[in-house]
Amino acid sequence: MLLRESSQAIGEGYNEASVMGGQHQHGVAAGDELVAFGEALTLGSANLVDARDRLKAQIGGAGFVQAAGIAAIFNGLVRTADSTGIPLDDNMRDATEQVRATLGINDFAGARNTLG
Amino acid sequence: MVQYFAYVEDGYPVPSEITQTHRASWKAIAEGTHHWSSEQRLDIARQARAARQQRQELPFNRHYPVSTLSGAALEATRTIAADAAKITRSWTSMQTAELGPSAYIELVSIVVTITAIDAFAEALGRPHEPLPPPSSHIQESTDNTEVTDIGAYVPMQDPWQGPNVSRALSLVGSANALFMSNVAVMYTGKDQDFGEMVWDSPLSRPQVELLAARVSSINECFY
Repeated sequence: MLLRESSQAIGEGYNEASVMGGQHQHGVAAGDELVAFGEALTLGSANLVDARDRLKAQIGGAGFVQAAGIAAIFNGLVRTADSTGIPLDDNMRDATEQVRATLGINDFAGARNTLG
Repeated sequence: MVQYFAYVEDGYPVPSEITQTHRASWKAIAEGTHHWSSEQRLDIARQARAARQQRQELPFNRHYPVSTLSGAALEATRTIAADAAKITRSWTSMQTAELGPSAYIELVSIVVTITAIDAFAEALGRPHEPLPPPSSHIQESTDNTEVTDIGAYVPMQDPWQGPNVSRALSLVGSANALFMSNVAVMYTGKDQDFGEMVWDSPLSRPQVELLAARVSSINECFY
């Protein structure tokens, strides 16, 4: 929902299916490099060095450090949500109903509790 | 005296608020509480680090440092660090029955904080920061009396001002502060408002949210 709203706020297109992987044309500047970097870091894969270099080349040092912080803190946030079973608030549940169904997110194990 | 997280000195242009928060987190993790001793908190951090580093290995192929933590504490620490997507209400009920809800929340806060800080090091291409030595200082960790059952696995504060997920650890104020102080500097940054859809930062808000959403989906995190 935040990807959709923030893209609309600056008049850019986006492809929400790209967050599930295997998609290109994110509609977001340096989207391929950001996604590859997030994937490599989260999976601990050997191509992290290459993904890091490509992202730095695309967005520069300050943007890279911000991306490092975002990818890192979300690896903590997902564990916070999973280990506490925090439910979606009403606004988020209603606003994401269609996209969750479309992308298959309701099939994630955590959906059992988070959907409430 | 050891100076932890010397990002800038090592050539990484990391904002000072991130450096200061990581240093404060190390100090807080090393301090005991009335649920966990300093040594136990550092043991939780050590076990979480080891578990997450082996997250792609099958559980029976993983190896851990020697620990004096209870079986329940080790199970909780290692599962949250390496297999969080498998967590269910019944699993959490077993852990909170064994450890107590507040002790469980403190454990979660240590695991998720070291996860974020270690992942930041990996993202930058730095080695993991050495853990600090035990501290003789005891934290005041008071249970929040404004919590209730909102349908989560543990009680949470309600009503809550701010992003919904930021109350996940609200049962113990110091535990919530430990992790959420890192969220504040690593996600929104000191100059941005979470509710604003246009950010004046090196990355645009859509770039931030694309990256965040992809990391969440790889982790199979519904939330």
